[in-house]
Amino acid sequence: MRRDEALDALERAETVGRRAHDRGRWYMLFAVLFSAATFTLTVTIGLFPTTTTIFTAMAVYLVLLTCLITFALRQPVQPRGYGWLHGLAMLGWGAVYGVTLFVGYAFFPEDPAWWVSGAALGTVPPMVAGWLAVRRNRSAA
Amino acid sequence: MNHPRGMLDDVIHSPVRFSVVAALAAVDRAEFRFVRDTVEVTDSALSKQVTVLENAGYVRVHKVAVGRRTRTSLSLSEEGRTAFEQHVRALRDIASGEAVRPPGDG
Repeated sequence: MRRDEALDALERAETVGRRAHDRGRWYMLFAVLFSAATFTLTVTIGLFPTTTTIFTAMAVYLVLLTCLITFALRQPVQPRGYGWLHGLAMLGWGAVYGVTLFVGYAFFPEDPAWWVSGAALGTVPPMVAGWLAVRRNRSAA
Repeated sequence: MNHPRGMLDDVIHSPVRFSVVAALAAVDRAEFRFVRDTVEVTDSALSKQVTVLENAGYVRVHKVAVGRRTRTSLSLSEEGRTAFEQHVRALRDIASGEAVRPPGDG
């Protein structure tokens, strides 16, 4: 193989790798929308804990979640590290959400400082996962 | 000293297979049709090359039934990733005009 052939092959690998990587950027959008939905849900059910509000917020959230899951399942590419990134993001979010909910209802009912902080903290794991999925090396080439 | 072309992987060396592996190296998993469009080959051409890569243990083929259709996706095995990285290193050495020492050659 000649030098120019090697350069051509490397350039081709870079181009194809970049295309594939860029198609995995949907996960950042997923993370942003999921974070926005979960932030709104947490703040709503924490600051306005009536049966009607909780029921309505949960119903809207479930519809949004179904749309997000459908969107994710229809994507042709899973970004690098998707499995463990998404798994850790959901575990992290679940832990923060659980603590915010149970501790909040027990000790800080309708306290904006607690609920807004908890809701904001819950967006960190998915946002970090989305950012990591986007910034990872495009390819080994 | 050896010429780095000796480090090139025979399975990955084909342009189409190299492009397929390069695309898969950048992701965890990609659908067959996405790889086909990205590499710009026909279904049958991609199928043939994927079979070669699968037989070499470099690529895994995943089939999931979605309604009446089967959704096929591809991923790179660890062995395939290692082979791709070594192949790319060899290409870089060739591109830079470097010769490589074989392992154990003091």
